[in-house]
Amino acid sequence: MTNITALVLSLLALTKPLIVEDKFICRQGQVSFFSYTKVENIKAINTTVYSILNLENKEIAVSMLMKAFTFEKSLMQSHFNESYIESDTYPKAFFTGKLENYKPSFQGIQTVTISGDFTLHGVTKKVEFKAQVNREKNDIKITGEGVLAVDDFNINIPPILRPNISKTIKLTFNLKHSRYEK
Amino acid sequence: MNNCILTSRVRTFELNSETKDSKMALQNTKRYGLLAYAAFATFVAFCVFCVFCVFWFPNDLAGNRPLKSVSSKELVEEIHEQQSFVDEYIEKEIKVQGVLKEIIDANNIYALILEGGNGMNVLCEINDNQVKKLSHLKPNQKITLKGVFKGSLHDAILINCTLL
Repeated sequence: MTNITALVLSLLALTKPLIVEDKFICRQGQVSFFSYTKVENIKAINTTVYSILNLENKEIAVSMLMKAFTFEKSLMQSHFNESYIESDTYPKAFFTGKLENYKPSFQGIQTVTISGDFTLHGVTKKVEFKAQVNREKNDIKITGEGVLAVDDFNINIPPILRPNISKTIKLTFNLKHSRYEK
Repeated sequence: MNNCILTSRVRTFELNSETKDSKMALQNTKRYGLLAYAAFATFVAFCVFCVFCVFWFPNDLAGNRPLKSVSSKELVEEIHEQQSFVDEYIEKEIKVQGVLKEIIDANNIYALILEGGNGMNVLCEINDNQVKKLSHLKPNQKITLKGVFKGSLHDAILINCTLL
């Protein structure tokens, strides 16, 4: 009898993808940033952000390709990649952090603080984001925003373009995670 | 009496010559006007040609060049094995063939996941004008698409993808 149960379980494991209970994955996360100045407003969006959420330790890891940010004007995009972020040298940005005050068993919306290390342009800084976590059955959606200072990340902006770019950049994110299947 | 007639003839002659001068001046003005129009039209045509050269020719050349064509498995292997592949094809349009694993969407932005290898797949974010075609696709179907290669995270990433 025990052998039959073991056989059935192993067959199930072979036919169904292995689901990792506490891990959630997001392959198509959205991260946008905005720079508001009197001269011009700049907005860029990346819709291929990758994120892994581990409910066991409430940790989250996010990574994004800098060249996947799209701008309204192609000139802005080339300035961003070539002059400011230097995407060839620093192609990715990373965030690793923890969801503070989060109760994994709770279904519905919770407001949390996500604190951790954000690495951009080769510089790592401690940051905090206010976020809302919405758990619905097998999906966990995390939305929120934060502010980053341009000077913190050694981003050189030529003096002539200083008035066009805000000293602080507003960052918003929308990460819809579903269960991780190995 | 003779003096009067002479004076009037001289005046008539002067008037006639003035009329001729003004006619010639008018003709000259018209001529210069036409020349100015012609110069302006040439300038506009030149500007249009310059814009055409800058924006059209590179695309046309890119369109004539055969796209790099790889299978999704080869793409994943290339990314794993050689950084030179990423350096060469990043931000360039490539053609990928592979087996459709799943269709995912986030806020009405659709992406196709093609089977890769070694835990890495190929994520192709679909152009808005291609969304209607997605209803005809099924998992495990072999498909070909082209898109702009952006690098890799957990998966290799292509955006602005078009189904072929």
